[in-house]
Amino acid sequence: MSIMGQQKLADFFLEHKAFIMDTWFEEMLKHYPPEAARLFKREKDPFANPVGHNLRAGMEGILDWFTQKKRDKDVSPFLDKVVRIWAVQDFSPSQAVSFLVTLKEIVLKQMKKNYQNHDLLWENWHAFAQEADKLLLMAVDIYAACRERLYQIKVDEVNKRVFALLRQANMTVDTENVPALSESCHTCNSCETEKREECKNEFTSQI
Amino acid sequence: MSSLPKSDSLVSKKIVMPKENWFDAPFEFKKGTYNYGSNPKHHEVLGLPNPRKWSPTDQDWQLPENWKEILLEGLRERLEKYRSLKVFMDVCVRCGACADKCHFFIGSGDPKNMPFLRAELLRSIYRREYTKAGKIMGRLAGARDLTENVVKEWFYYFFQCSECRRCSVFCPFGIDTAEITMIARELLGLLGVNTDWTLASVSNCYRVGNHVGIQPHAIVDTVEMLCDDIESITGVRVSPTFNRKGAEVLFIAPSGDFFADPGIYTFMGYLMLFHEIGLDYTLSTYASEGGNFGMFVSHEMMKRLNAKMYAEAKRLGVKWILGGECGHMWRVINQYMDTMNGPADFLEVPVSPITGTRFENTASTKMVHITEFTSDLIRHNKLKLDSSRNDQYRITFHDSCNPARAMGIFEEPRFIIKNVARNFFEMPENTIREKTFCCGSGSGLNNDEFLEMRMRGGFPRANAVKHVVDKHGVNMLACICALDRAALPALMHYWNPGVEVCGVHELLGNALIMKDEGDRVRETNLRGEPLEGIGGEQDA
Repeated sequence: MSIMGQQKLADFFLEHKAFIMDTWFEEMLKHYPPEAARLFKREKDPFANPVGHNLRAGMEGILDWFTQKKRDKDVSPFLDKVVRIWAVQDFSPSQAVSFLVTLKEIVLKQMKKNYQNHDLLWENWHAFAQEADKLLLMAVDIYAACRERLYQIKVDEVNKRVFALLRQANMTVDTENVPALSESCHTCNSCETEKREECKNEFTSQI
Repeated sequence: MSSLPKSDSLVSKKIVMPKENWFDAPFEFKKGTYNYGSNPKHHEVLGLPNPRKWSPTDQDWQLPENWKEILLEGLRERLEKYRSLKVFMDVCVRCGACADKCHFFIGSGDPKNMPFLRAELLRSIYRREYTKAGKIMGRLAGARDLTENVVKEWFYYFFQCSECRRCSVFCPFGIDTAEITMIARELLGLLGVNTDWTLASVSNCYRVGNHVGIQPHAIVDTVEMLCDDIESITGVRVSPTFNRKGAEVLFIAPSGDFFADPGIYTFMGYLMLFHEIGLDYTLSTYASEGGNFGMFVSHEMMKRLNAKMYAEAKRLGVKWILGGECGHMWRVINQYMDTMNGPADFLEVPVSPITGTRFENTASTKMVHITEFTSDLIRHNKLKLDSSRNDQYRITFHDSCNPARAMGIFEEPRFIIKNVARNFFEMPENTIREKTFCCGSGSGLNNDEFLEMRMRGGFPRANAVKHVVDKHGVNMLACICALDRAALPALMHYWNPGVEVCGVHELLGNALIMKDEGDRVRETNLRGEPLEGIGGEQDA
């Protein structure tokens, strides 16, 4: 995208951020029963209202990212705030990332109102949609990682519950001596350390 | 093309609460949000009714033919027996003070997890059957008929309550919603409707002595192994005794501390402390469980499991009982034991043999919480501590629900932590002490099949931890409950990766300078992590 395109998109978001945020948050709350939506919307204390607070913080972070001229900062922590919650609530995988589709719909409506010139509308919409689609793909990755983590937790829990007994039966493996995972996992260096840490109490059956 | 989702399938199927009456709001047994049905073999072991293979997702739950009669008679009996239940059924004005205090509601958004509405599930039946207004006016008076669907709804929602009692703190009438849940679960139990995880633990405890079902020889082996670990870390051989008659004190810990990581480090801390002060104590392989999953089944079952602790104390002829870092064990001891199996007149009022402190607060139960005991030792300068050995940890403290709200244990664990570590940070005020948020897995919900709901229910706690992680770089969440030590690692792993969980006595074990260590310098903490570059007395 041209520098000019980035500039215009950032300006658009600077100007319309408040409206988009309000509309987007209202749309998000429609996924919840009214009793819960009321709490998530009204309660300002972040500790009494963790869902509302984190959804809002994530969404604001995403919109702030669009207001940046360069957009070189990592937006994934903000996507994570929303997806991590929806990954364990009553949402299907597509629903859990649908908030970005909702954002596209809201932004398109707002751009149509804002840009009378068809070329200008197309140029900005195209610039935004490209970026939003990237975020959508990132959100899918985050969702998958969240679900994967849940399954890993189940495995870890079983191991931890009987750790001492497994150790007593000599059924644990010292992961210090397990070869690094990087040789077989070139695509994901970042998780290598994490996996090794998680593996601390894992065992392989010797039967 | 026909298999592709349509655009409107992105719209969530939210729970719709009908405007007219919440009775009609549907619910669904979705994977991750309900507990598995109880296994018939546990029914047989415990002599519980209606043993059969069943699943909550079955259309037919194979209830006894006269199930309605059994349930209503059960409710009538309990209304007569427990004055508190009668009051709780009548007194709620649905003011809503509790509504937004339940971690399951604020984490899931399901309105039937608002405590007053969860209680209405039972109250509506009570009104229909036992109040004039309900009998005559029915729905208008908030009453409804008892159907099989109501039984299913009870099972779903009363096993989405962790009996943490946070809502009770905010109720202007002092309604204890946990007790409503306990009664509802007890009534379900009359029909043979129990959860597998809870009943398996109770059955193990009843047969073998602990929830995990570990037999006496394995307990001895495991504790010996922990003693080996202590020796390799400190050079000191601690030698606990088992089932020793004539010991002054019987020590009872939750079984999670014997077997499960990270509870074992807490257990090592206990053993090191007792060795250091020369406590005349014994462990029991019969009363090898402080926890009491019976509390999540029925009053009768809670009494049965609690009784063995006192029976063992009597058999061994000890003077008093010292209890480990456990959660619901302490609610049972502090709130129910005395009128259930007590008073324990055959024991003596506990007196610390080291400081001479007489624990008057336990004059009837004769059972002292270990944080009371240890903080008393520290207060009297009986322990030599090197707090720098916990410098790698930046610690916050999770008030475990039961010791906090059922006992008021707020200061003791904090006093210990502040004496054994130098980096301690509190979470926000409305998430600690009596307002503490539950781990989301208490009251027998700490099972794999319930994981999504546990993550939702634990989110408010995790969110408060995240705050101190961001603000102070916290990396250790201390607690005084074995269920917490089992549940919080999973919760942290999902919401706050990098934060570990420990018991307070693990931190104490790290800091404790043992006389028998002599000049030996410890190289690792109890987890085997190196203590390199740490200053303080150990370098002296």
